[in-house]
Amino acid sequence: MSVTDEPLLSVDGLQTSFYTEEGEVKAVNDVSYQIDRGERFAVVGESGAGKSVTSLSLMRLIDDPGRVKGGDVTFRSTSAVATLARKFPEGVATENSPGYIHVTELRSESGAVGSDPGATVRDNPTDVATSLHDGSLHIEAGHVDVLDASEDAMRELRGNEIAMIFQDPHTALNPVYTVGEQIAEAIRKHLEMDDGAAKERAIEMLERVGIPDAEERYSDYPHEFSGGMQQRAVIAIALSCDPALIVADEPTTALDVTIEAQILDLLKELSNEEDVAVQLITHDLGVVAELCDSVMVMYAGKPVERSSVEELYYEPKHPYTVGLMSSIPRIGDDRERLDTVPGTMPDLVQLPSGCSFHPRCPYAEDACLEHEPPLVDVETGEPVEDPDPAVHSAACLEYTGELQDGVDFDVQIREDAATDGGESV
Amino acid sequence: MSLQRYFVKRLLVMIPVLFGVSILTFSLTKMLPGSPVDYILQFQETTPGLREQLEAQYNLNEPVYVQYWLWLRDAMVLDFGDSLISDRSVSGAILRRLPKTLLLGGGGFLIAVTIGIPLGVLAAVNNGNTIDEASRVGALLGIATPNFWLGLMLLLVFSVQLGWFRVIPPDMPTLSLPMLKFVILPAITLGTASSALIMRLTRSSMVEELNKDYVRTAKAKGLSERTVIVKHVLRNSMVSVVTVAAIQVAFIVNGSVVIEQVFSWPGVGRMLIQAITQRDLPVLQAIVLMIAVTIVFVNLIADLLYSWLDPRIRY
Ligand code: SF4
Repeated sequence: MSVTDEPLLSVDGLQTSFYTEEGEVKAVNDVSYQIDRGERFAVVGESGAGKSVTSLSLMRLIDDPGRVKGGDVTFRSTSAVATLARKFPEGVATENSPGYIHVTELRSESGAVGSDPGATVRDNPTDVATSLHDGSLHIEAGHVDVLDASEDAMRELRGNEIAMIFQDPHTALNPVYTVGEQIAEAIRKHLEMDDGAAKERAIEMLERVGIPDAEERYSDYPHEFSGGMQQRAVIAIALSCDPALIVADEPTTALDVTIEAQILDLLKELSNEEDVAVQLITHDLGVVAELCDSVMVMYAGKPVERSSVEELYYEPKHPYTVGLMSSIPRIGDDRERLDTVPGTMPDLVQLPSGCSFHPRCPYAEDACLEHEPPLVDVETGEPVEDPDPAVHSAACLEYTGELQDGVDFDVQIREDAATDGGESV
Repeated sequence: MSLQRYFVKRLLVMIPVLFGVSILTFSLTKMLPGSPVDYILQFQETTPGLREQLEAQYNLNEPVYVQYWLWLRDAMVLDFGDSLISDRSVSGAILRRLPKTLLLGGGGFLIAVTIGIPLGVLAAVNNGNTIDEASRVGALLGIATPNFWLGLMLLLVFSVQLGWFRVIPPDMPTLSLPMLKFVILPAITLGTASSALIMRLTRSSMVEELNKDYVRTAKAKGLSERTVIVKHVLRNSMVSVVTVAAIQVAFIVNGSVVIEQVFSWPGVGRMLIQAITQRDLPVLQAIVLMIAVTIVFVNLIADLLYSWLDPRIRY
């Protein structure tokens, strides 16, 4: 299989915990998913479900007292491997150690970087190193082990290959630098342009995200931008170095509804035209319907359902998903969102026994208190090995045949459900 | 509003402020007990004629507001008359000593800032661990130690015991090497407390800034830790540090009066103390006014720096 057929990003068994005085908070507990090139993938859940920690883990931006405990994050991008091979030539394989780009030796200057145990950029041992060797750099295969990469190597990926958009654009921009400078800064670093060229590109980016009079607005400060424009500027930063993946963490939550729709349109348009994959993090299934191809629903640090967006809307399989769906407001509807999943996220230090969702689940039975449901194919009941979203899977005992009464919900879809969200009864 | 217009506006605002400062200076020195004439006559019995003549010479027989006006008119062209004691021009005497005081105060401020800010950054980055704790204790000691005592101890250890520095300053031009060497101890004495305060403030404002979202944005861009801290976080933290640094200038000016005594430093501070004990009113008024004006100007500079650092607060 050539590298371009494989998913762009594979997250496998990711575990991230925060070590607090109360104990270990398992914020992300064995999460696997994958994102294809150009795909728009949603991670959905209430706050505390572990969505944001998942994305910060793959950016390796988890601060103390948090730590990525385990799992693999594999990023397959030929340009990323090429960049790393160029930036760390000492790390490129020699004839004696074929096939590996060791970034380990380069760690000295970054010192102890906390969360990373080792530090190698591992490539498919076969073709990469040899192709690196002849100097012509025909990298056909190759991937970066994100969790193993050194901090220096990570900095080459962040903002360059994997970029991020944050929830509150008002606080995400530094108030004391011009918007333009904050875009140009990333361009200078990753695309190695001089000041003039970086400024030109930053202005192009501002135009690209739909900011009028981009040339003049370049030297505006963030407080001179409206909320929607600030978010456009943050998107311009993310887009500025041609990333392969943009992680958007609740990008529209802080914005009002009309602006929200505009920003979602922009993200959709950009991901289509620039062929960039998007990992969207949201609590709002309405936003998912607007933008995404496939989706993973998380609860208490674990994935509870994974499927294509279509399937999830027409046939949600997990009781939690069903609960979330009934709380979707229609776009343009300002009414207070109803919390129709009664109860709150459980304590992540002391998870409930069995299915973590059982205290809130209307279908919970005795078995739910004892057995933790694995994520299984909803058709076959077999555990899913490969986190392929084409396989609709859910973590509920219903699909392993352990429930006596079974879950019993009826999903009614309105005509416009695919764009406005569904409703369940 | 542009920075230039803001600057002009601030300058205009200073006119009434300086006016008020001059009134305060004049009236406070006027309130000192005892007539200057008594001191000129060294409390000797004299003929009433001589007394009157002296009072007329120093305009002391005029109403107070006339005295103020006459004083202010001359003060505006830096003419503070002659010293009551030495009969020499006050401005001349001050100007002769001013470079020495500027050297001492400048040195003290430099130490306060160049030690306070980097240590504050270091403590913030190491928030909660040993370096942070050590700096906390150090800062507490620095703030709690009286400066005159610190000065005496430094003199005792480094000048008397170790002999690294002279005990009294050399009689040399201000910017000569021996002078620059001698100023090290008094400057440390003067700057220690301020540097401790600046350090604590830099630390706390950095810790606060480090938790802000823009820091994560900067990291997500792939910027190095160093760039994130120095370029993004420090600049934001400096906004509050500048304000406190400006207040520290006032403390340093005050402190230098005491420290000049301790180190026999031939500056304006010692002149001030002499003028007070001798009721040398013209000298006293000139120095107090000079200090007040300095502090007003330092605040102006701080305000301008402030609005340069943070574009949101220009208006
Ligand atoms: S396993 Fe039981 S408690 Fe968990 S979601 Fe399914 S029915 Fe509800």
